[in-house]
Amino acid sequence: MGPRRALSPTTAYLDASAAVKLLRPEPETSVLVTELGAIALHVSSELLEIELRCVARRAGGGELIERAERICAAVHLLPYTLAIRARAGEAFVPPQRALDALHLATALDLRLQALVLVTYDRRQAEGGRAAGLDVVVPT
Amino acid sequence: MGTAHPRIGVTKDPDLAAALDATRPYLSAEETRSEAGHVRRLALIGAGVLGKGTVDARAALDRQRLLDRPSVRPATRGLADLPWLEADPIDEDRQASRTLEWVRGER
Repeated sequence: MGPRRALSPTTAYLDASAAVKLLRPEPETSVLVTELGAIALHVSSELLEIELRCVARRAGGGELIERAERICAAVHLLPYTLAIRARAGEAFVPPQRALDALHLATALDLRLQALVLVTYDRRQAEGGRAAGLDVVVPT
Repeated sequence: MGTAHPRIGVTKDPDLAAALDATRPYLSAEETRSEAGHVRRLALIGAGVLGKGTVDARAALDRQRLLDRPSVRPATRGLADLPWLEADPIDEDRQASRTLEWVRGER
């Protein structure tokens, strides 16, 4: 195998902490949208759909639910497989909350060389970096 | 055709058959005279495109890898088209990020 080079990212894995900033504009949203616009593929776990729907309902429902559906339609959603469940239950440094571990395990399962994890969760970002992922926090 | 180089076997599964059909119109009759020659030509073209390291070429490859995974739900639109992000003002008191903290049981 030849030497690996630093590559411009082709794929952004969206944690819910990033995707939720697309439901309503927040201070970081503009930079986030610019960052995501420079990356061709956007992926997440199918858990994202549940998280965004729950946020939309808790925040008032109605149009927010349509927005959540529209965001999810723009993201390749990956299933919650046996391998991902197994990896999510293994160790991360630092230890992760369950949903954060599932997102990390899904991103790791992709094994794409030019993938970045987009997250605003500090603990998850640390766990992603420790597991070998490139992590961006657009601010 | 005789050759001093080692040969490799390639399985003509439905995906490869579809790839051969899809690319035949773009290649010359000479390049597609035999299926082995057609596969060789595609391999050299693909290596050339990927070898240039363009983001578009790598993104196309990664997209195919994603779509090849079982049970993936493919995106049907782009993230560029979210008009409310320009229309709505930033409201510090109604940030969805705070609601996510509640959803995730953090507060």
